[in-house]
Amino acid sequence: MARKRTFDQDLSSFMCIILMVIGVMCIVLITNVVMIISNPENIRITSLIQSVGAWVQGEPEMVGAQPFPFGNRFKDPIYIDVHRQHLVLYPSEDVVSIRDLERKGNALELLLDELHEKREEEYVVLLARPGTAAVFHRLKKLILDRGVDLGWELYEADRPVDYERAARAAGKME
Amino acid sequence: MARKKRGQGVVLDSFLDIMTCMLGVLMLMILLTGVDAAQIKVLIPTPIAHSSDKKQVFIECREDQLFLVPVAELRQLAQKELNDISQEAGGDMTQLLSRLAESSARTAEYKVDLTYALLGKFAIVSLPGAKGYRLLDTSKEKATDWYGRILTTLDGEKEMLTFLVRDDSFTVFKRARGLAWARKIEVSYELLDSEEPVKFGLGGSRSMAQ
Repeated sequence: MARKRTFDQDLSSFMCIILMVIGVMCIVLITNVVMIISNPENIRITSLIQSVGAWVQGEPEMVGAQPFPFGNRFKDPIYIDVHRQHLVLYPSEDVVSIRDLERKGNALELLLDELHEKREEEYVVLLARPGTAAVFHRLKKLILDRGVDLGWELYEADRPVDYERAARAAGKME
Repeated sequence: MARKKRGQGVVLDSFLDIMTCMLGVLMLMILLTGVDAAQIKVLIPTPIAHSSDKKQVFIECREDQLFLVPVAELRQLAQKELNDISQEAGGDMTQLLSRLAESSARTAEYKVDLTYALLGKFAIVSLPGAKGYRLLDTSKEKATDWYGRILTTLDGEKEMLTFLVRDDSFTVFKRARGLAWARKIEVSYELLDSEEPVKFGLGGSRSMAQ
């Protein structure tokens, strides 16, 4: 006589596992949703200049500020901090005095030569400090004449250049 | 008689089915939201400057105030003045030069320095003590306010704002630029030394939009 097969397994422990997995998945889902809600445009800012607004000393730059609407998403910025008497080239942080600019083979010239080769991937951002109008205009002309793309930002006199933060956000630095 | 064990009568099979289905749905949802959350666009905000054919509306930022530069009106005034001076001088260069230096082509905030006309340039000098517009709070700026009116009347398709920024007015410039960008209006800006006249014409170049 054929014996009727029966499954009398106790599934309560499996149920516990399923419930725990569902719990974990709910947490992951909530985390994902929160991430999407907090950044609906899915934007990660990798620039030194993070907002269009004025810089306020001691305040984090991103608070209440909106990103640039015509921002560039294709090229990497190379920053040049323009002071009255000197320039600071990033990321090397080389300091070039204005007098040195007349010398052939100076650090700016070398940087521009390098940039000319990589002009499809990189562009220059000039950070113009107060009182640098003449130097700034000369630099603008020099860079544009080399066929390198250019952007600029008016940068307050005592505003620090936190290059590392931008480089980290862009994945250029660990 | 054997006692029936407690709890043995509860059949969990259908509940387990529901749970497994839920697990599947949750996995799908996590997958979709995960993909959405991971697709981060990288934005490098500093715009690349580019040339634009749009008509420029000039705003000067000085002493933390905004001034609309009436370029067309000043040009007309300067042209009229130049015509009068050249007629009066009648070819006498000394008289012409002295009259150019005494030019009175001016508005309430600006005057034209006609001596630059000899170099083929049109130069505007800001008049000291002129009162501009103080843009203190961007959130309170209404369409009926001075700057709000400029922004609302500007045709973003055909016109752009060009800011002439003096060293002492970075803050007001950034507020004004922020409002313009919020309305998707193209903006260009030039840095000027505090006493430098605004020059148009020979040797200059068109301001690039950002």
